[in-house]
Parts: sequence; structure tokens; C-alpha cells
Amino acid sequence: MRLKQPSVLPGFGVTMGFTVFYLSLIVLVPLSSLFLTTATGSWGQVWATISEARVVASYRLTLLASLAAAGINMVFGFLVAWTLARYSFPGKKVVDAMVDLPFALPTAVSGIALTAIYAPNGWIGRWIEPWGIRVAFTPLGVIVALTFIGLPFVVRTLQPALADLDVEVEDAAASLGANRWQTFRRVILPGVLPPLLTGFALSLARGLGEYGSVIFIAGNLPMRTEITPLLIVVKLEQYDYAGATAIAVVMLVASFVMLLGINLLQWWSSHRHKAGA
Amino acid sequence: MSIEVQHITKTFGSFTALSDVSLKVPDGELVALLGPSGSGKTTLLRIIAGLETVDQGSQGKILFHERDVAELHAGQRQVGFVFQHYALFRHMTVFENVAFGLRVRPRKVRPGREAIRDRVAELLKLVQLRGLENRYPSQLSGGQRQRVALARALAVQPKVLLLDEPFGALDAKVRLELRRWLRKLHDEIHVTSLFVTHDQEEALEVADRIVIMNKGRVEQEGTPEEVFHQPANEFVLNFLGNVNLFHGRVEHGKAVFGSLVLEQGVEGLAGAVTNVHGKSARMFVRPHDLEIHHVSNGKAALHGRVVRVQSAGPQVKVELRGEEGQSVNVELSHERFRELGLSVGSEVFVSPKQARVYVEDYSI
Repeated sequence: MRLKQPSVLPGFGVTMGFTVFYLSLIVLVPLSSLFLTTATGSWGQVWATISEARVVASYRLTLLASLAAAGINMVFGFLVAWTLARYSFPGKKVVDAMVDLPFALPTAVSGIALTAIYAPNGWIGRWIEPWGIRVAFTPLGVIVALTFIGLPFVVRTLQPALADLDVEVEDAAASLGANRWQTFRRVILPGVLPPLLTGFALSLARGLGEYGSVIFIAGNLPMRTEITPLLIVVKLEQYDYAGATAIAVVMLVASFVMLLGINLLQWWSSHRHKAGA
Repeated sequence: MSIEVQHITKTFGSFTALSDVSLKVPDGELVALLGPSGSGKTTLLRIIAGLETVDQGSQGKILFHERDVAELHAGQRQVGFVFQHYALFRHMTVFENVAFGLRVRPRKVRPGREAIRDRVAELLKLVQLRGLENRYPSQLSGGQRQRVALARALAVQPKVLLLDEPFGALDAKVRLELRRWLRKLHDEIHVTSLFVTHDQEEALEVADRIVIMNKGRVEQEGTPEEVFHQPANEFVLNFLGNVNLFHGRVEHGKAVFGSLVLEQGVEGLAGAVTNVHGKSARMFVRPHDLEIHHVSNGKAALHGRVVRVQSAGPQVKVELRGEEGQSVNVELSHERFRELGLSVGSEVFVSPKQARVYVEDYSI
């Protein structure tokens, strides 16, 4: 296989070189130090740390809550992006800017705000408590925080793709007798699947690594509402660097595998209709 | 199935796209909606298809075979619509595109797998795209894409076929081939068709009847021969092919355009110039209706000098500069051109074989 395609436009060598160097400096070197630090402990120790019941429960919560939040964002983020891309209405700019707030706020601020609202005596918590729904200090709270944090990723990746959609294609579907749902299912959705998956992946990745906004609303009850990043911080506070990095490595590998999987899925969905071109 | 549109008005904000438009497409005919861009022809087509609504409170009616379809949703009108930019489903193969209309039918009336496959094969044969079932639209040429779009529209067995500038995005040669092919196809399947175009040549060549639109109104309706030879007004005349315009005035029952003086007897002139002394007049002459001579032959003629000769093509195009500096375009046959031995700088006389003169309105 030839890596370099002959081209009249120069720059492959330089840009590729820079990319490799930069990624090494910013991403690879710090992450490999994780593995090195972990390797200072013995295998037995490392295994004991990462397979401890409390830690395993935290993996479960982090993973499931992130998936749930990314899933919720995929649905509702789609709606928000659709509204912003398709319609113009008074105050659209304000709504558009609001979408970015979760990006901009310090995560601790959002955590405190969410806790204040969903606590049993908070604005919303007060009304849903009698229905038996508790958000703050439960896994549900973790999902709420991660949904909040992940929303802009889905909206911002989908919005340009939706704006680019050809409205005539929907007209064509309508005149062929498709109802709105069929048009959505068969015509619109396949067209925006790659960016939708990207949004999902970003939202998920953010959820896996989120710390600040979750620890307040989660209440951090061992075995129930502790997320993995919290356990890492706890270990660090106890000067257990090897333990902290061991858990971090598990997170790292899990995240990488998931993101790689989503990228492959996305590649497949965007290349399917160009097969054999 | 015939299409009839009565008193349709459509506004977009302060812009009136259609104002009180009525027209009729007889059963089984191929009718062209011809007009410049912004004349409302596409809007009219979309209203007929149910993709656009008429203004609320307007008295407009759309009848398919005498039946009012205003309340019917686009999908229920049994209309096949072909878009200028094809509007194919990019992520579907040719087969899936064509089968779409059949596959989205409610379960009760949906044909079986085999039936769908047969129908698609039949349609692809009709549009001469057999063997391309598994291609994606991005792997097809423009002409092929438009034929897929046509097959897709025909798959649902529409009662009416509506085509919005179907050849507008194609290059000249493909366009010519495809429009002749469309005519042939129409002669085979006889589905009532209405197609929008801004290309007069296309409309004149393909259509049984032509509806000429301008600024949201219908200017004239008729067969290609009628609209070409008996244009209802200046707009139609101007729009259907190149034309020379001369400004002059009426003096003592004669139309005077510089040294060219026309008396009664020229087509379009009869009756128009009597009793309107002093009014300004406009004369329209098509380039092929002008004759060139070296010497004045006694006929009314304009004097001019050749400034440009363009002989590549079926006819020789000669541009003259008249005595008042106006530009005059003449088209003549290669034989006549050789006979005359014209070149840039030649001094010649031009006289109209046929002309249409419009005298300024009395009311002004």
C-alpha cells in the first residue's frame, strides 16, 4: 500500500508529520505515562484494585448512565437541532446560544444548579417527590447531569447536516405517497445517520469522563451512585497513585474501544451508499 | 385524466407568485408551462401536485378529471412529480429509489416482493436503465439520474405526471436527446403531463400545447404553431425566439422607422396605423424574416453596415449597424450568404418579409 498519493497540492509530508508529533505530545505521552505508573504495581495488586466490587459497580453506573444520557440526547438533541435548522422564529438566536451553555459553564456550577433544582425540596424535586420519583442522589440524577452536559454535542454536530438536507427529497417522498413517519424513517434519518452517530459518540465520551457536574447530584453513595472518575479522585486523595491509574487505564481502554466501535459504525453508514464508486 | 386549474392566486408575503391563473390540460396531452424565471410556473406546478397550498380565502380550484382535489394530500393525488435537481434518495440504490413509492404503501394495498421486483424491472426497461439496479445515484450521470427520477414517479402509476424543469440541470446535448425521448415515451404511455420550462425551443419541440406565463399570469395558451405564428402580445413575441425591435412613429397612415416606411399590407400592420397620426410605434421582426440586398430594390428598406458575421451553424448570423446606430440581427441561409458575398464592412439594405407593428395605446 502506498501511503502517499501523488498530488499537485503539496503538504502531505509536513501535515502528517505535524499531526503525529502533536498527537504524541498532547495525547499519547500523557496517556502512556498512565500505563507506566500502573505498571509499577504488581499484577495481583492491580487486578485487586480494578475488580473490587465498589469499583465494578462504578463502572456499571458510569457506562450505563452515559449510554442512557447519550441515547436521550440523540432523540431530543435531534428535535432541537431540527427546530433550529428548519424554522425561524423570534428569539432563535437566543435559543441557539442557550444550547452552548452546558459547554461553557464550569461543570461544578451546573452540578450545583441541577442539585438545587432536583433535591427533594428543590423546584422540580418538590413536585415529583410525591410521585415516588427521586432524581437527586440516585442513578437517575447521574443520567440527568450527563444529559445536560452532552446535549450540545448532538445538536452542534447535527445542525449543519440537517440544514444541508434537500427539502425537495421530502417533497418527492410525500408525492410518492409516504407519510411523515415513513419519510422520516426511510429518507431523512438515513441521510443524517453519520452525524447523529458522531453526536452520540461525543455525548457518550463526555459522559464517561464527566466529574464535576455529577458528584453533587449523585450524592456518591458507595455501590449505588459513585461514578468511576470519582473513585479515581478518591484514590488520588489517599495518595494511592497506582490504584488511581489502574482504574484510569480500565476507563481509557473501555472508552477507546467504544469510540472506535462507533467510528467504524459511522464509517460503514456513510460509505455504504458509495460502495464500488 | 384531465387537469383543470381555476382562479388560483398565491402570494409569498408581499410577492404575488400567481394571480388568478386558470388553465386546462386535456386528457393524455403533453403541455408545457413556459415562462421566464419568477413567472410562477413552478409554483403552479407545486400547487397542482399538492406540495404548496393556495392562498386561504381564495376561490381557486384544482380539478382532476372534474373532481376537486384541493383537500387531498400530495400523496393521495396520484401525481408523479419529477424535480429539476432529481431529488433522488442518495442512500438508496436505483432499485430502491424506484420501488420506494410501492414499498411505502399501506400493507393492504402493497404489492408483494415479486410484484415490486417485476414492476421495477419493467420501469427500468422503459427508461433504458436495465442493469443499473444496484448503482447509487452518485454513480450515475445527470441524464441517467433524471430517468431514474422519472421511473420512480411512474412506479406509482400516476394519473398525472408533473415535471419541473426536468432537463434544466443537464448539458445541451443530453437535454436534446432526453426531451425527444420524453416525447416518444409520452406517445407510448399517454399519461397526462404538464412540464415546466424556461426554454422556448424545448416547449415548441416537445409539447402538444403551450401555456406561456409571465409575472404570475397566463399570457397565451395554444398549440406551438399558434403561439409562435400568432403571438397574442409583445411579451409572447419577444419570449418565443430572437426578435429585432425598431422604434418609430405613425405618420399619415404609414409606420415610419427611419428610412424604412411601411404602408398597409405588412402582416400585423393592417388596421393598426390608420387614424393614429403621431403615435409612437414599435416593430418586431424575427432575424429570419429580414432580407439583405446590395442595392435598394424599391422595397421599403433600412440602410446598414455589416459589423459581424457568424457562419458556424445551420444558418449564417449577420449583425448590422443601422443608420441610427441600432443593432439589427439577420439570419440567412448559407447559399444566400455566398450569393451576396457579405463581409464585415459591407454596406447593405435590409427589408422585412414579415413584421409585427404595435402602436402605442390610445389610452396613454
